[in-house]
Amino acid sequence: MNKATIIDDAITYIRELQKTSEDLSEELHEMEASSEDGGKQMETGADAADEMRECGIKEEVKVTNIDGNKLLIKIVMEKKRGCFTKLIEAMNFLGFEFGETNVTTFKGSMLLSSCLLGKFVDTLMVEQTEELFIEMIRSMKGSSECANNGSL
Amino acid sequence: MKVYEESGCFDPHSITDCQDLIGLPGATNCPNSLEDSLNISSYNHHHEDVSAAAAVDMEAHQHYLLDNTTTTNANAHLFPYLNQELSYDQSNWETFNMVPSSSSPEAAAAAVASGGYTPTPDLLSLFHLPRCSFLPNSSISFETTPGSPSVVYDPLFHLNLPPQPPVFRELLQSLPHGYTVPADEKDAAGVGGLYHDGDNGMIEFTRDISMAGRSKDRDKAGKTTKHFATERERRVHLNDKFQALKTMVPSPTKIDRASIVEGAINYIKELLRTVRELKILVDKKRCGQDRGKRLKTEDAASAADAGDVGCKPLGDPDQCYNTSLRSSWLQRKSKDSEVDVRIIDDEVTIKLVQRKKINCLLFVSRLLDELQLDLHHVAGGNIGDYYSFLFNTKIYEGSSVYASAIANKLIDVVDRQYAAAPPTSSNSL
Repeated sequence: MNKATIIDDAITYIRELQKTSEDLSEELHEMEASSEDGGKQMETGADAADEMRECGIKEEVKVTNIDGNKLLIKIVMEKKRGCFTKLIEAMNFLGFEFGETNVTTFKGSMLLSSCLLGKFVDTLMVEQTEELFIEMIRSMKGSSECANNGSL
Repeated sequence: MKVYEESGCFDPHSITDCQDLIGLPGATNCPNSLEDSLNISSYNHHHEDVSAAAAVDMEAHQHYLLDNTTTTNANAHLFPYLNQELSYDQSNWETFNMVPSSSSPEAAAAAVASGGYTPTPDLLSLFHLPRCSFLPNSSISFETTPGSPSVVYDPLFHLNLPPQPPVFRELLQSLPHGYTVPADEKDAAGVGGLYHDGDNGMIEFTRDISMAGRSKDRDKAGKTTKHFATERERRVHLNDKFQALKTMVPSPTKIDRASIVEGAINYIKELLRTVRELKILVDKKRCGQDRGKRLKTEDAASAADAGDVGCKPLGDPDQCYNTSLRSSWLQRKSKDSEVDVRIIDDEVTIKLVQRKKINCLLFVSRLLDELQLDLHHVAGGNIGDYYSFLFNTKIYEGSSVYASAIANKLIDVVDRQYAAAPPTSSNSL
């Protein structure tokens, strides 16, 4: 086994493995296409709201202005598929930049706390933001899945 | 100087050449010739001829240097230079070449070092003469091209000197510039093997010289040309293979061979993990499908109840025992981002580090939705120049997304966004 043959073998082996993994993933895709997906997600949506109510977790939106242009946001809401994305979209739309962000989920609820950097922040802005988020949560509450339709 | 030059016009076997160089000692301080003599004297001897002659030569020179008071001052500050020069351990011909020729004190220093002369009497006492070698198993390897078989040449090795005392080693290690000593007896044997191996070392050496195209070897002329053709061919071939290997590996690696091999090793391991993961997924899917078909033939009412339970692969003892825990891990790096995806069963942990330029959280979150990953936990933010995020997610039931898909898509999205974003000044707020 000299260097040249080792390299050759390595190249061959890599090609082989790549081909195998491609074949397998293709097979997987085919199987996925032909199989049916159960309606399990629907059930989990309803469960989430129930769980939340049981635990006494209330929905909440809190927006505070800290240190000039920074906003500290805390949102507790019902966890839905895609809700995080919607929130992020909203924040982006408002022109905020993300500082530290944390999301935790528990018993069907989701807690988002984030530090946002805004371009131009004053008390009016803070209030508006808060209202906006409350509005969003309310709209999301009704639907079982948050479709990514970009409406705020 | 002649030895380190590519000229190769010095034939160690030729008496006349050596004699030219030996003649110097009486002369006034001329560092170049001193260096030459030291080097040539080491070449001067066949490995059979070993200790006596060389040792005598060495001692002669050392005494010369010692006696010569004018040089001691120069030598005193040679010491720091020594380390500097010698730190070109693995350098090319050319680099090493240029070093001695840069300035004479350094040249002398380099020579002195290779000759193993210790500048000050204090240091002399530490070293056992004639075993005064800064490079106990000095491997100054000369490579004309990266592909050539490197000849590890130890100027003093043929002296068959005993392994150096530990004090020596410690001293060396405490030297600045971190010059490392590749010392131990095993190495010595290895080096020796190369050098002593029935003239092969010498032949390889001369062959390499000839590679530079300045061969003046007489009797080896024909043989050298022949070697030249196949040798170079082999090298080029080998280089091409390395390049091919490099192109197959997805992550950006440095150009040097060691990194290429390392990258290839990691990639192969990753591919093995991926293949294993995919096999498990396919099996699970197949089981699930079979079970689904079987359920449909059963009573409709019971099927509705069993729908939740039965579809879990582990819950039904009659079906295939797919108890293997699916696990997978891979990383993808690109110029500005780094992605690490780990999957255990149905939990996916994603780490993302990205150079701060765009707000990537939105795109990532969209992608996660697409991939049917349920966010359980997110943590991250801005660290210096980078965004760093950690996502803990769970795969929705029924989805068979796999690690490499996640990683590839993720890094793809991130990079695309990064490229698309206009170059803005950061921290504009």
